[in-house]
Amino acid sequence: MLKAVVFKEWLKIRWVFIGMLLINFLVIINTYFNVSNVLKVYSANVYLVKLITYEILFFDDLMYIPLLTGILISVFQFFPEINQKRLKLTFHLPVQESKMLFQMTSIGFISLLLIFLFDTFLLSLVSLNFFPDEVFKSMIITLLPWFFTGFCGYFLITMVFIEPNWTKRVVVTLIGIGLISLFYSGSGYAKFEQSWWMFMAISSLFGVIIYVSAYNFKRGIS
Amino acid sequence: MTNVVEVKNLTHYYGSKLVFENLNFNIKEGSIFGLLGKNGTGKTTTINILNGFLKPTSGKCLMFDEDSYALTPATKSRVGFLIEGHVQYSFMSIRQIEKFYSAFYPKWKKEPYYELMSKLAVTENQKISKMSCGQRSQVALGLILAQDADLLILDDYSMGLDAGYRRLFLDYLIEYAKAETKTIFITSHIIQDLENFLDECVILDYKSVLLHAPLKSFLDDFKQFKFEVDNHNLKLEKDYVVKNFELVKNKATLYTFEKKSVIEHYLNNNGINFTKLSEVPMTLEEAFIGITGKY
Repeated sequence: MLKAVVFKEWLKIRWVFIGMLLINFLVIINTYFNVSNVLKVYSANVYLVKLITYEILFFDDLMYIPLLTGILISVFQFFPEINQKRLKLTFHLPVQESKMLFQMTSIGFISLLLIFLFDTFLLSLVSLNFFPDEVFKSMIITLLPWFFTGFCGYFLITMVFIEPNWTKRVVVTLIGIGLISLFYSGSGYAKFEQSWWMFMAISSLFGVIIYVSAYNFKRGIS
Repeated sequence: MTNVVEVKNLTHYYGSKLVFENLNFNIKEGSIFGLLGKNGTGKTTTINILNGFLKPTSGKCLMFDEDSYALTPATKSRVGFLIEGHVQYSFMSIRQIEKFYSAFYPKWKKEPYYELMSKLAVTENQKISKMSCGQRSQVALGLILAQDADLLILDDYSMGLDAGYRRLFLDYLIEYAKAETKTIFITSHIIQDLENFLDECVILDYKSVLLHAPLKSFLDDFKQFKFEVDNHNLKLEKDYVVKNFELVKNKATLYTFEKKSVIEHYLNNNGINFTKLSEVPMTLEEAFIGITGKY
């Protein structure tokens, strides 16, 4: 049964997955060429001092891409379920509804994880190619909240699709936007070194809210 | 004979609006049961409650002895569900959707599905979203037949279908229903198609049940009398004799469960001058309109 669920979800998200993978790739390639071009003008030491002094992130083109990726994966995965209330078909399948939802969201989550691991891998190559190891470590810590926005955006939009009550949709969306904006607060490298786990906790919370909305959908609560 | 579905004292409100109150009926194993009513009388609401997609305000629905809001996967696998409008996963192709569903149902039989698909003049790679409404209805029907469910719940199977597809749909359902243990629960807004199909029916009115009876006894017992009157403003309220009354100029139509002699007596007792009283046979659709009214 899991194989069938994976098959169905993949049919829905395959093009957006490939598309976003390509966009993420192009953004990072662009980052590579930007850094490469700058280093033709400045020496690596001068550029590094400039980056640290002015808190310039050499990979900041990627900042909102994970959030966009999460939102789009959710739209492509759950809009077809809500359109004409197809989720009724899904919840009528002989599987516990919570288990089905867990499997569906896990597929979206894993898709995002794969894209973000791909980003991390490529950016690591860029960083290690041009900068010392310390920059690589702080880059990873800086990237983490951005990746968490991707997961939050995914869970939030999924909740908006599934939740039948408009008031709850609006309230949770506003809270969600507020929380996601926290992820972008601050500037410079590794600002959230001590608090990245908080972002992970917030992302997990978004994941749990989906089950409340699914319960509301299943019971026709509006 | 055991009951596959039991609806007990079901009451539902949307906000403060009453949909129906104290709805009661059972569906026997092996029967074809129709839930009929005008738009907005609560047919889809009942089906949603039955499938656990809506919590009733009060009362209970049992399906295979399980509370409908807590159906186990084993029970859900015994129920084929056709959503209003033949909704299916339209992003899948004919072959993909069969492959998908087959993983969930142990008794899956792909033959009836592909037999139906072979009549559609489409390839197995045809996307469902690119098919006509009639073709999509056959995909949905083929899937629930392949599921080999013990109970089919069909919410307005006739929606958007022309006469040919409606007939094809019913022909397959009749074959399916020949097995003694297969049960069908159906709603439709095209009543006429169900005349030779249903065993039993409930007719819903706004907020209440108008009739719950075997279809044959409804058609045998419910009568239409036509007569002419002098009074063009004659009004007859519904009561124990009159179930509905219509008057166009001097032509009166009275719907009742009583015999002609009772109607004659009733009209005379109420001081109504009438002529040409005669009983006129009705189709199921006419009987349905007779009992529910045109408005």
